[in-house]
Amino acid sequence: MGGSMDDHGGEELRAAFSAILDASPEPALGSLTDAAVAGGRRIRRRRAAVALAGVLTVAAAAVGAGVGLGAGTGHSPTPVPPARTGTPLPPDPVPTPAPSRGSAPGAIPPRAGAHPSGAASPTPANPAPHPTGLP
Amino acid sequence: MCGGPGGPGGSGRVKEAVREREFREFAEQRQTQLRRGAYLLCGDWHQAQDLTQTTLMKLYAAWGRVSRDGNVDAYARTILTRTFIDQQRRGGWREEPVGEVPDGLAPDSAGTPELRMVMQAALLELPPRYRAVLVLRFWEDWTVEQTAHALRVSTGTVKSQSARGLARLRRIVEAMAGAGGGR
Repeated sequence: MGGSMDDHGGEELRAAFSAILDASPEPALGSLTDAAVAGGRRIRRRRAAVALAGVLTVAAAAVGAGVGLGAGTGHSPTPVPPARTGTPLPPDPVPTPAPSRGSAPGAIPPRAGAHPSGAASPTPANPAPHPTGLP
Repeated sequence: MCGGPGGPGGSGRVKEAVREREFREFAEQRQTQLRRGAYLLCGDWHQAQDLTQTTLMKLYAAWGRVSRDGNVDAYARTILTRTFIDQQRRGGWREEPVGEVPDGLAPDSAGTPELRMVMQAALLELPPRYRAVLVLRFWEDWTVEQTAHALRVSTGTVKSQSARGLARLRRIVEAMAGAGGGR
């Protein structure tokens, strides 16, 4: 190992590794295959058990959450009446401010016959003289 | 559920039997080589045996996927090296120092039993990661990229640890040789 520590050092190290292994004879150690197979099966069984436990935990949590939601309300939801079909109802009258003379120009005149008396027209937008003589 | 040999249970058993046979063939062929690599990492044959057994157990647990992917040998060495580093990090093993360094060691006595002992002692002085890099690069002949993948580090880290490891190894050997020759 006295040379430069680059590729040459790598070559020397490789030779040193071989020398170390040659100098340290491997003791008689039994085959590992049977133990490895048994241990590998154990690892796989443990992994499968952990995966199954995870699935069961998630399923139990989902069932518990569902039961909890149902018990939390305590009653069935109020039924909603069915939507009506057919002719639509007239729109509710929109309250408008009291009549005034200075209504906005260009306001829409009342429809003929809408208020025969003309006394309490909610939209007296027309400043024309009233038949009753009222302003 | 377990039907005859043609049923789903029988098919599973046949697959398992094939899987086990393939693994046994691989393990019987390769365990000696794996154990020698493990010995270079840990410096003790019994620890090397434990390390190899753990490696083969993990390999068998993942055998289906590994054998489909191919290059089982590289996968086994990767498991072995990672297991070694993990165990070292956790302090699971206590490294026994190699016996006393002999006196009168000459630096040019390459190949002598004394230098082998010095080399082994020097190797065990290195941090486990450096040792793993040197073993993978210069014993297993792995590329920088393969070594980086096995150790889960960058290629730059492998290069720097390789250079530093070699330099430290040289310093340790020279110091040991000087101490031995100076007496």
